[in-house]
Amino acid sequence: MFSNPIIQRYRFSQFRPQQLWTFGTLYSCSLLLIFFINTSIYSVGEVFDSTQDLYKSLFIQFSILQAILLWLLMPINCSNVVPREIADKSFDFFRLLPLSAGKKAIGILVGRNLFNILIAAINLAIWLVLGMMGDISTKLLLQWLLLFIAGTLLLNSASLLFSVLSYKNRKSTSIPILVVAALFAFGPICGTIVGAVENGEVISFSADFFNIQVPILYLVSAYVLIGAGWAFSGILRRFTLEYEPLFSRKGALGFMVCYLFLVYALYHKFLFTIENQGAEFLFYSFYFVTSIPLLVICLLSIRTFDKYIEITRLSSKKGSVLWEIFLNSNLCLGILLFLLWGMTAGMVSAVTGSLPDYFKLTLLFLTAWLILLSLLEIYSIYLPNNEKIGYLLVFIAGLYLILPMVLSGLFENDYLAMFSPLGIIYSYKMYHTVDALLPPLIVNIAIFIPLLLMIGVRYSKIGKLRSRIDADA
Amino acid sequence: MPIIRMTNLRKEFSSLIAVNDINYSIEPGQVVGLIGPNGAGKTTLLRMLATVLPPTDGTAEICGFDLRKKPLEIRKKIGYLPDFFNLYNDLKLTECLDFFARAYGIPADEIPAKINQTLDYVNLLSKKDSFIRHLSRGMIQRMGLAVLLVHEPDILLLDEPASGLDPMARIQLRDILRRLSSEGKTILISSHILSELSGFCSHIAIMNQGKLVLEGDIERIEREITGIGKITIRVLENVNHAKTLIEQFPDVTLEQASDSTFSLRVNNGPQAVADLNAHLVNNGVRVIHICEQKTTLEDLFMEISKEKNLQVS
Repeated sequence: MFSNPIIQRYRFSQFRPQQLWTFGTLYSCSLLLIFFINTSIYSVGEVFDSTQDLYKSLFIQFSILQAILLWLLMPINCSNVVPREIADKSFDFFRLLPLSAGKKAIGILVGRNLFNILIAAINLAIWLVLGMMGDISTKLLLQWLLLFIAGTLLLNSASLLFSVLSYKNRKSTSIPILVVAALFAFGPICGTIVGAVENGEVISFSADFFNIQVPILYLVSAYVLIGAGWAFSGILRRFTLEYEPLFSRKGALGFMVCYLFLVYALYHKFLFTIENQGAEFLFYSFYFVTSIPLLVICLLSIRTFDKYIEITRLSSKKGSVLWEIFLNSNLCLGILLFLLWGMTAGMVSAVTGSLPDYFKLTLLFLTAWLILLSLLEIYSIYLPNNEKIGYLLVFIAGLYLILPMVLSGLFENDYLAMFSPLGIIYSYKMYHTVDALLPPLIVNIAIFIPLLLMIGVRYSKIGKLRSRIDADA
Repeated sequence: MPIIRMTNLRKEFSSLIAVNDINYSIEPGQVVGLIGPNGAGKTTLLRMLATVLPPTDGTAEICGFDLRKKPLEIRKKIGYLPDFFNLYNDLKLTECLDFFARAYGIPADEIPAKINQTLDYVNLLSKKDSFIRHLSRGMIQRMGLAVLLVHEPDILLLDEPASGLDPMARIQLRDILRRLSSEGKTILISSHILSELSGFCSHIAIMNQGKLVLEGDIERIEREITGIGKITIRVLENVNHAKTLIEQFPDVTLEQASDSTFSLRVNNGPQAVADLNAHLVNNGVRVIHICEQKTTLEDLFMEISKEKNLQVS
């Protein structure tokens, strides 16, 4: 791995004596400060009851330090490599390196963090020693270690992936977003670390993966590792097929299947053991939790106007151009994903005895989903005509999702929330009769029809445009 | 066997056809000047050949590898210099070349010698321990060439390599390119500044609106377009009489006359030049100077533009 040229390239810039001296001193001083403060508190003798408590406290502080290093600083480093190369106009050379996408990705992930990895290794050694001296259970140490590794892989891969999602010439990096995200995330993380160490209960927590009981931290780590695997494969795709969307058709469906499988695995045992009252909760929670990635996957698989033009070139001789466009459209993928999700949720509803609710709810959701999909498709196909159309469409989508809920609050009428897909989650249990569901259904269809017409007009224009291009050629 | 063979190579951006079904081959050792007005598709074509941009349709074979199927193999064989680029400012020249040499698979023990040799080639050996951020624009351009040359590619794809350089840097760059062409490298170079290409291009390919409107070796095109070319004649006296004689002569066209010097276009080979000389002398005009005027690439391009009705921006 260390023969990777990109890692070697970063070795030059990160291990210059001046840099080593500066950051090495900074790190050593921080360590000394932590030890000095803690031993001073210990010598006063009011906070720590024993030396073991002192080591336990140091262990927690080093855990937090390690989390900051591995889960914040390193992802920030990874996320600014490609944007900086693009801004500095050196990215063409990077593109042209005769290295596989995997080597490039590992080169950035490891190379950009060479110095941090060195510090993390020293930290880890101290962390382990402190853990053992603080009488922390070996099981907990192992679980934490696995979580650290899995979290590091996921966050670094994801930050690199998000930085390469768009190859626009960006001067700024995603550092501010990461910092804000970290500010929100680090409170709970630190709390978890402190809690886990102080009462040690986290070792005894377990969760069910189908019928297998797994310690909670191991299960979380495994899920995080799967996420890291997807993120890494996303990076490989971006480095190989730069101008394609992040998800291919198969990739989008595969990701959805994987997500549904992983969520179902957590529900499986409960589905077959729970009482009637709990079954309803299980159905609703499964239904809504599994619907979360639908829009995200569609956004990351979005095909552009250029792609449609390309499709018409390849398919114009085969038959109906409009049909070909539809089959390859974002709309079609969205419907496929919905079907996949709908079937899985349907099976769960059958198990929990919620089929009538499932059908009504899914029909309503389908119309809402078609509206959101249409807005996405309109963005994709009208973008070359109007670069700012995205703002308008996001505003309309926001209005559609939020306004009914605002009005519901304003007029203290829960039923109004049923006109928003987000509000359905809240209000459905109160208004699940056919009479109550009809008005939002009709409104959704009324909104969808003009959007569909706009899409149809544009699809037919794409066909005509292809004929014109071919004639010009 | 061609080292680059393009087959119906095409690139579309929305409804714009940037490169329109190009079929063209380049033999090993040819130095091809890719010329054409702005927006002709030169950069798009080079980027596709460099495997940076995927074609919409068609393909190209480079060193026997298909552009679509074996981009990594092609990258090992080519060196591509983009029109706007920079290098890693946090590295020294030697470190930067070390990085590229490793990436291109040069054995570690050969790298130091290779770095010195390459830096010497582009006249940057004295700057080997400087940081790239301390180089001038002209030096960065030469360093860019060094990055390409460190792995000794078979083909160089250069996109406007002299744009934005001062005259001195331009001359230095041209010297390096001349040396490379004399060493038998296959080079495809695009440029607006046609004088930049004069003297070392063996072939030209002219693009307009995504199409290749003319290609071939410079001498042949020159002959096709301008016959044997242009000549200049200077006479000792009887300037008006000489002018009348020239205008009456069937195989030449008078393009310019100033004092006793005439610029003519000859349409019928060397025979016409000899006949014109005899005609002038026999009619009492004493000719003191007659020489062939070398057609510059600019002349050639303008000539072709006129002939092919190109829109020159």
